[in-house]
Amino acid sequence: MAGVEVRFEDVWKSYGAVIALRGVTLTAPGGRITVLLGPSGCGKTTLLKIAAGLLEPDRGRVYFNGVDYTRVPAERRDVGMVFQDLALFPHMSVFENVAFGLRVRGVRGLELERRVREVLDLVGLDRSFYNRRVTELSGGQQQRVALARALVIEPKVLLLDEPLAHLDYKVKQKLLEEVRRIQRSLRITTIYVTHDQLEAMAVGDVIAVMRDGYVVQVGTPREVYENPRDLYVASFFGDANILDSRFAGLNSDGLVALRFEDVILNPNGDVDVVYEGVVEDIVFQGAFVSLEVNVNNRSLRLLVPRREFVRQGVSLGSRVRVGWKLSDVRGFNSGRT
Amino acid sequence: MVERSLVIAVAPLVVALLLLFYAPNIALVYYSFYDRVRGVFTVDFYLDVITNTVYLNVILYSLTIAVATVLATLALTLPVAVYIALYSRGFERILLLVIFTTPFWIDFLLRAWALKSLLYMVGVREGFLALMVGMVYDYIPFMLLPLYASLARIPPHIVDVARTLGAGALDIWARIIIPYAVPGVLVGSTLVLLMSFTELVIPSLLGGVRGFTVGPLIYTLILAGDDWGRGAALAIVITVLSVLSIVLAYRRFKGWLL
Ligand SMILES: Nc1ncnc2c1ncn2[C@@H]1O[C@H](COP(=O)(O)OP(=O)(O)OP(=O)(O)O)[C@@H](O)[C@H]1O
Ligand SMILES: [Mg+2]
Repeated sequence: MAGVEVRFEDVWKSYGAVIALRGVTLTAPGGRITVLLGPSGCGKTTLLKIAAGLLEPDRGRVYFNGVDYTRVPAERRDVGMVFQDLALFPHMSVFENVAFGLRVRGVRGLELERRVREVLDLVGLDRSFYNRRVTELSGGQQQRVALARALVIEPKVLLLDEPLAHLDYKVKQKLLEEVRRIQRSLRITTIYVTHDQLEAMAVGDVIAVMRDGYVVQVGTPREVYENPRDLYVASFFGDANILDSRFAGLNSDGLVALRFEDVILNPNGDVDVVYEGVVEDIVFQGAFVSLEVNVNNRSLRLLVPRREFVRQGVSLGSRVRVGWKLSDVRGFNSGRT
Repeated sequence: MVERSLVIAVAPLVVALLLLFYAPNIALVYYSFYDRVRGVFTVDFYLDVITNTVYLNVILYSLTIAVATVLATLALTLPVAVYIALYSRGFERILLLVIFTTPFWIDFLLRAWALKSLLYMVGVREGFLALMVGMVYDYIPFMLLPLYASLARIPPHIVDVARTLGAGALDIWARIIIPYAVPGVLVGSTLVLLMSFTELVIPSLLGGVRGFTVGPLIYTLILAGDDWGRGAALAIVITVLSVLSIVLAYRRFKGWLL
């Protein structure tokens, strides 16, 4: 199964006076995970609901494998969706929640039981959960039920709206891995919504960065990270210093972006620009240490590997040199900011 | 501490209930067994009530009307309650709830008279039709509000989820809306059944000769006929019947209560 390709073409949607989508064109390739990444209110859920058939776009089309699905109602799309608030059926047991999609398809008896069991195994919920009420489960267990319920109908497309929001770091990491494992084994085209860039990089084959109802940039995580299209993408996807172009060493006006990790602490040669400054803040992050250095009253952030930080013996108030290569400075010709 | 203040706060209602509700009812029980003329206690009134076909017919007829009122109010208000609870929000929701309940801000006698003149205008005289219209109209909020309250507990998005899972309109009614509606249906039906069974004003004003239901019957017995014994016995038989039918209904639907 190659997976169904989902294509949005110039999709517009407004709620009364609020324009939620302003012409989204995007292809979610078959069998891959496409991440919609963007801040709150940029239209991610709206786009997902349009893919599910729960909302009709005001303008534009949605294609599944080239077939126009714009007017196909949700119940005939074979789309599995996990909502932002999960929306489990509180009046049903775990088993019945998952069985729902099969029951309405007329699947009964042993086959029903086998398929529910298979998918609950897949998400790691054993028999002891079957008769539990969903309201008595932990957050992570509820996410698993929601995922199983969407998967049991063997959907053409899986739509996940921040499925791991509100989970603590460890559980989130574990479930992220599982989502990837399940998606790989089933090869379902998946659209995954998040506003967390680390989550986006962890699951995304393709990342679509959204803003104010637009898709600003599409690419693999690496493409988007290394070649952000504009300052917005640069600062939203990965962290970057936004600097005055001349200060950064370029011979032009405007603003440029410089990734935190591309600023080198006390460089020996091999850089094009060097400044002196004072360390004003140190945040220990584990593998990396984040430093804030004041250079002529501009503050620069840099990310230094912990070993390097220890080797250099830097502390608050230390005078340091910072430098970077011009090739690491991202300039932008145009671009909304 | 909270418990103690609660006891004090609850006390007035308990006292009022004891004095105003339970005491008259106990008096009613007393009257139903006490023959004032002969000055003895007896079960004759009860025997009379449950063997006299005239009374039985009136009870049966009233029960039919009450059940019909329950079914009609249920059929009329369920779609409205579903719409208000699931598809309206914010100001629209409040507006709809107000629209469907404002008629009941007006005194019930006034309302019945108004309805009577209205029905006359369109050529409907006292009789079964007028009686049913009056009953249904009067009891709509007692069905609508409990229904709305139970349907409003349907969490957001679960209907959307059901649709993505392939549920058509029928599935959504059968698997989501009805299960959620059951407690509201039980509460609403109880209220409407009890009140319409013994309703006095509507049958008297709008029923004409068909309006001789238990309400007017008890009224006639006690106040016009000065027959306290039979009136009281009849009232108690009806109360027992009502309580019994409600207990049975709740038993039947216990597993459905979410
Ligand atoms: N039912 C609605 N009625 C009116 N406006 C809405 C409705 N749903 C969404 N909006 C508005 O549309 C815009 C996009 O909303 P949407 O839910 O798609 O954002 P989102 O990217 O999913 O945000 P979040 O990350 O907070 O979930 C927002 O400005 C929101 O306020
Ligand atoms: Mg959202």
